[in-house]
Amino acid sequence: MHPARTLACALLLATLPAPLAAEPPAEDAPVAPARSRAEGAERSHRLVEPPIPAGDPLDVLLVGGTIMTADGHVHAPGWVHLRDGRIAGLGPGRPPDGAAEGARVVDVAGKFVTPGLIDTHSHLGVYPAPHAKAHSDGNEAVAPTTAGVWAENAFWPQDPGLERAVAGGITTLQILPGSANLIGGRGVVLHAVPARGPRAMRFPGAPETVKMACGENPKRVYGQKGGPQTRMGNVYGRRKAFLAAQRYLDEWLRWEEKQGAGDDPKKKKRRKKGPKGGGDDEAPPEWDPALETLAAILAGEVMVQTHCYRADDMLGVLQVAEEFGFEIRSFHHALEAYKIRDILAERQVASSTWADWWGFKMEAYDGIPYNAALLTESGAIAIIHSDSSEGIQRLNQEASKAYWAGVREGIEVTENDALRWITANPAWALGIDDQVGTLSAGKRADVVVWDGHPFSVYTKATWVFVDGRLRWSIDEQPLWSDFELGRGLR
Amino acid sequence: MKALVAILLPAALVAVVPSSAAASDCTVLHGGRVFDLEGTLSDEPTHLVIADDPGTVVARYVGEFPGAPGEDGTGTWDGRTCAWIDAAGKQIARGFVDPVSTMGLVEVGMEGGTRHQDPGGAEIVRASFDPAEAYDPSSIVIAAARREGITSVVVHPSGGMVSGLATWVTLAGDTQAEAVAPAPLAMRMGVVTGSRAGGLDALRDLLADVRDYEANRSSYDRNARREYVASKRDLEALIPVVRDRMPVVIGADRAPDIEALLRFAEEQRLRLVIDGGAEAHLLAEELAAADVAVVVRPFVYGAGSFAQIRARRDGTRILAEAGVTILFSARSAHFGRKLRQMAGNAVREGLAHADAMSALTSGVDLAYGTMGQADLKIGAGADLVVWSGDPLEISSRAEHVFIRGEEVSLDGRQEALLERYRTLPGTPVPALTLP
Repeated sequence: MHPARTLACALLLATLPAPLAAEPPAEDAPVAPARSRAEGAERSHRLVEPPIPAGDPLDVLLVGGTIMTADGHVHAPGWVHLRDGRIAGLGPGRPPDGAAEGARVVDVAGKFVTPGLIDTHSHLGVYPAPHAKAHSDGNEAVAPTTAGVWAENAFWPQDPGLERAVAGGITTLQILPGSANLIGGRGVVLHAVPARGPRAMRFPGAPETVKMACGENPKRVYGQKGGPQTRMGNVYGRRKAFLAAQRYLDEWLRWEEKQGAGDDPKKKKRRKKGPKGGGDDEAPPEWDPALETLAAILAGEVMVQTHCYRADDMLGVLQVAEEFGFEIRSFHHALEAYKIRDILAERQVASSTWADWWGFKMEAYDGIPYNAALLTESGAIAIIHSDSSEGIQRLNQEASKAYWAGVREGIEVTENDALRWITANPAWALGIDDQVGTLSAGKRADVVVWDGHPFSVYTKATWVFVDGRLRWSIDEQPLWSDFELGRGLR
Repeated sequence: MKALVAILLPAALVAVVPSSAAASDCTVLHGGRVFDLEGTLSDEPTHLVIADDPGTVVARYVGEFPGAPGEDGTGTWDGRTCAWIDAAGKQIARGFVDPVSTMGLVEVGMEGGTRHQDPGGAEIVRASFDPAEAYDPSSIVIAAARREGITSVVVHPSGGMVSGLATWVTLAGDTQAEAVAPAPLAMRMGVVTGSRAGGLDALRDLLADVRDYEANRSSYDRNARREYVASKRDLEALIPVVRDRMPVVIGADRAPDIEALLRFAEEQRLRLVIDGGAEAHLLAEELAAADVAVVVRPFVYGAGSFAQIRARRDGTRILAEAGVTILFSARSAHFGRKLRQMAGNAVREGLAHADAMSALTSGVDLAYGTMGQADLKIGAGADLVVWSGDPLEISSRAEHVFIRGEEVSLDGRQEALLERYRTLPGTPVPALTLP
């Protein structure tokens, strides 16, 4: 890894684990400019609202159902114990004596238990329901590079679609800016819980994400507005942005190095002799939200999520990534990923795709329903995403369609693989696979209990747990969204 | 109507029908279970014999079959040699129909040059516009649809206040002559003004002109009538709507819009089909009483738009239980795969499986009728699909699809791409050798 990247990465990760409650400002002193990138990042991530009131996590033993762990095991029957917001244990049969003592025992015979579903691509909240011009907040389509904007800032937590997603088993979702722009801004990884503001929904410890786009959209949006007008312009625009970011990052690194040199007498001495002179009073570089996002890409601090359809377009993005020394974590839509799946497998770039969307534009013309299965067979990382307030309500069915399409053609793919398309693999693409994505002891208790096999069209989620709290029940469905109140809906 | 429907899947047929079929131009589907017109699956294994010409089921047996399987996928029936498909454990249904489609009209959604469902322009009355004249029987979308058990669609125009004609298309054949029904089935209308009420008012003026024109053609031709809001050809195209109750398909989701449309249809004596109906469940009794069919949206529940706020998960069930004719549509050229998934989801939310199956098959006949001049036989006969299991379940696949008695290929461009890229690198194509 680039040394600069390692340094900056360490700095940022130290400050970004979970949104912290803001400390009260010291007296009325004016806030001075940030003196490090990390300080700027920490300031811009503070939480002003109190944590979501939710009550204690449940202490519950689900026993007798089919447990699909998404890490290769199916315990039929088996058990899962949720306690303190975590998966306390699981296994085949019944728990050993004393293992889940005191837990409420719930018989889930005939039901299926899976990890909570994770959608890497949602515009819930930024293009919320009901569709309204005033709520169309997903694309800052004023310039092809708007790296300084954050999807989080547009997310309307009253989107009724959120409750619908949870009803379909979603427990975590990445909210992304749209794909009008080459670099559209930051995404945000949210836990699917009701809240007054999106920051309180942030998935604890999830890395920051950035949305980029290639292909038709930026050139369609900006073709008559100063460009890019072509795929050439797309690559040029990306390159220009990262050249500026290189300079910005370099400026900060040099400045921070000088500051750090204060502890090292030898370096301090040398600095005094340096051409720029400077000293402890030297003003820091300007903390710029847009360049900051781009610098974070170069420094490997964020998970880059790139909207791209065509194989050659994806290769073009990988070339720019290579040129500037960063990694693409996941391509999104990636309808032609199957054509370059060897390269994607080798580089460990995930592909977030649909089961069967295709044909709606030229770059989607070669989409085939075998994409996810082929990627999986070749050792690449496949993900089924929604990009749709409709699809997110039944991501399990979407995975099932892609699975059965592959099976039909004799592609080597297993049910466990297909379950991973909507659990473990998206968790990896979002950098939270140590916390969620499989049913494993110690992971967060984000768990779905289904009334049948999750790949059946007739199956519904019976219960959905997030951090061990019941967020959806087939028996009781309070309206989440303020928008839906007072209409006699339920 | 009833007699015609019986041909579609001849549940009543137990004896051999005299047929002009050549001895070898027949297929035996042996031992499957068969859905009847009401969407119910037979308990008994059933044997069907399909003739290529005239492309219908010519015999049906329960129990013993006068023939036996032979070699190389052939067998005998009544002393003749036929193609033989062992359908034991399979479920056989009539081919699905998508009643609101742009299949064959739209090749690439966002490429204007490949879209033919909307003539564009400022003209809002396009009653004589027939998008089926642009139908492309070689569209790459067709194989993907057949793979999902869809054997016919009704292609619809879009745009304008009166969008134009909707026409039955069978997903087989190399030419429009083979695929497109000779006469349209329905008139597609929309509402173009800001207020739905204003849109209905404009339609009132138009229909008054149509009636006036029909009663006074000769004086119209002498320029002795008042000026009409539409052209002569549009007025002509609308005559079946006011005279023969040609179905009028109008998009509406909001309950008050549906209510107003029901009154409007009664006032104008129109045969109405509602496309959308997100909130239609609130008017289920009224829709049933008026015999108005609804092309439903089972994937919409909740506020997709302000017109859909009161949509329910089980809205389709409520409509069906009230006796409303329901239909499913993917509403797109490329999303045929959604059709049976939609129906399956409606069943998940309480719709009877049989109601879902009939909605996918015979529902379209009930909604559109035969219209006297519409030749529904083009969609009749042996348009059959042999499913590996429950046709609505995701794990099931269409194993054999017959259209007009002939088995059609389920491999299209998507499968060609799969084959090319089955091993990498799929391209570049290797260097050629000299002969």
